[in-house]
Amino acid sequence: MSTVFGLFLLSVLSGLLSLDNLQIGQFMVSRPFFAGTVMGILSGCPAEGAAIGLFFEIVFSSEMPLGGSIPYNGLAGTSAAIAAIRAGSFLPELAFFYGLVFAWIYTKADIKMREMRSAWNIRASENISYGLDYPGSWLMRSFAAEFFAMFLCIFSAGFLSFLISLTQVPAFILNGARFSYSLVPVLGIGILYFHFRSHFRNMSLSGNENGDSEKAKDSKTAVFNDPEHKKTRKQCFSRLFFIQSGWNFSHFQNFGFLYAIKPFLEKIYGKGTSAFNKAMLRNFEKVNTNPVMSPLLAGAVISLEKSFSEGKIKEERLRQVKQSIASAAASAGDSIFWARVKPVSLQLGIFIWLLAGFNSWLFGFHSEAAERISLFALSSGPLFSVIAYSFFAVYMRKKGFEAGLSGNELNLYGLADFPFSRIIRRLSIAGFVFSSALMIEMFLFFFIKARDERMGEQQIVLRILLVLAMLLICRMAAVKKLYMPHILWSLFFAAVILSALKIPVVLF
Amino acid sequence: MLSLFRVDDRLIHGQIVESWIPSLGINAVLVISDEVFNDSLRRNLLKFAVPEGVSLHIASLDSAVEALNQMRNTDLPTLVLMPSLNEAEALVRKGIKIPVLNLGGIIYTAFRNLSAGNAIFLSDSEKEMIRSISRQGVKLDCRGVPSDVPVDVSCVAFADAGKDGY
Repeated sequence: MSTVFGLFLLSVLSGLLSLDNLQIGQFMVSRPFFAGTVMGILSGCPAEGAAIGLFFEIVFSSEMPLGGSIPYNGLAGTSAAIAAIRAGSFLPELAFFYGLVFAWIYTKADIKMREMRSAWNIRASENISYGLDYPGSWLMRSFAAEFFAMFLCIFSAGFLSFLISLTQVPAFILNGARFSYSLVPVLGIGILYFHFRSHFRNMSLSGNENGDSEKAKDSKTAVFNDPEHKKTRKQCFSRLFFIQSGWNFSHFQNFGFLYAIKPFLEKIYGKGTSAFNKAMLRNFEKVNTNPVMSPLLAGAVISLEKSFSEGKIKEERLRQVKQSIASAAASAGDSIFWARVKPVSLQLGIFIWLLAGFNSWLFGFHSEAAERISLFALSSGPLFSVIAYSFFAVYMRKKGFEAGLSGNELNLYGLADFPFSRIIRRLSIAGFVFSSALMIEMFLFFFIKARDERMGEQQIVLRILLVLAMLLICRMAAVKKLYMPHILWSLFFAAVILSALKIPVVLF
Repeated sequence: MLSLFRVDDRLIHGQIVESWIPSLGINAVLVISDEVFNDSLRRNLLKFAVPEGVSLHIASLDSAVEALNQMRNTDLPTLVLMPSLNEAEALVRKGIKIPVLNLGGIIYTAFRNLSAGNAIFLSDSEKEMIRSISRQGVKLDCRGVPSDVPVDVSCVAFADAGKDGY
């Protein structure tokens, strides 16, 4: 009974965390590194959960949600793996690959939900055009669907793992899983390294060759910047944390975007007027940008809508400029936050773990080592990674919103106020330095382990060759943009086959 | 060197900057669009969007042939971006060889009632353009990012075609 109740709670927690992944905030509490640690602590397998969460994040660290591209859902994989450890008493190595299946299943379900929400646009547009109040229920439906989909996925994963545990899993599968699991940290560190190496090599140290637009130092015209509109600004800003709510393939962030700027549209056009209804429909059209940059875009659009209401620009021009700002902001935001801040914050969290003495995850997990790590030390790495990302993201949101509201053509509606090129360059350097340091740490810890275990020369050489082979695979994956799940599954099945053929597999 | 021809109404955004450019080692982006060519704000926004180390060139349809020939003769791997199928069809009519045309994104609007995958929405006239482009031997590749599974647009574009595909 306690297992069922524990599984129920785990599924509820997964469902709640999944809301952060897309619908609400993107504060990174849904990142597998953090979520795995929290769920592992609550499920009685803290270090196993933490390690699995790290692995799900690190191997997919170069996959980003760009435009309509949906990466594997690491949170679903992590939660399913922990559910399998809890309910099915799976060993972590088997749980990881079991979780990979559910990561795939949930990703497919996620795509279906986004397609379903595309169909909502017709009905929602009708309501808006008839002047009916913007239905916030669409967002609530979106939250509920996301929560229940994740809940069902994880509960099913746990239940199925329990059924599997009633049978005997063949030894060759367990051995194959153990071998391939021991190589996952190497793959992850390799992926991070080549991700940042590519960015570092492509950097131009001389600065932006295309030139920056002029900063409008004296001719900024801030709209709604007075104390009278402080409440509206706060309302809009806080609503922008729901920018991804109702995300769908045909119109992208339109639900969240309209929800956020509606208070300002009421101020500009007056609630219930035909101009207001038209503005609502206009801002329900397709819009997509990086979520952290959405406040800048929203500020710029509010400024544009004000100009349109005063007859200073035409409607088509408003649309063109909005689309162009959204794309440019997406370019900067994706480069900074998805491609750099997120993996750099992960690296910093990993360093905290290593400093705290938690390094057994580097060599496939050994539970006796886990007992030596305190919960505080275990959770500090992931917590720091969440705080580091969120601090930077919320700061950018705030500054971006202010810049967008006060921007104009001269400063590209606020975009030119930020030294994005410099930020990207510095993050690329930092990421490359950190990932190189991680690579060196990995080899260092390996040699220490080899000394402590008195490994023979042949064993050391075999293991080094294995690591180099994995790093070669990572390089190919980075260059050819290979799909990481395919590599993981290939590794797993190769290991299982070798094990089935009774060929001894080397554990790193 | 012309590495990729792509139709994407968002032109330069995250998929281009963090996926196609590193994947293909792109050093130059050529945008072909009359609207952008004549709009200084949109030109500046594109300049802002393109990453460091990648040069940006913008051409109108009239100057596209010359621009393409220039980029073809350089060593710089170049990504050619067009905001719609109109530009792609115009280039094909001008005799520009496009071995593969990547369809990355065409937004949904009221008159686009056909969809191919989740990112491509086509009107009847755009369906005709795809047929016309395909007749010239251009292969279509519908992917947002390199790691996506390509979507088969022919099932939409040629759904009501005769037995010869036209």
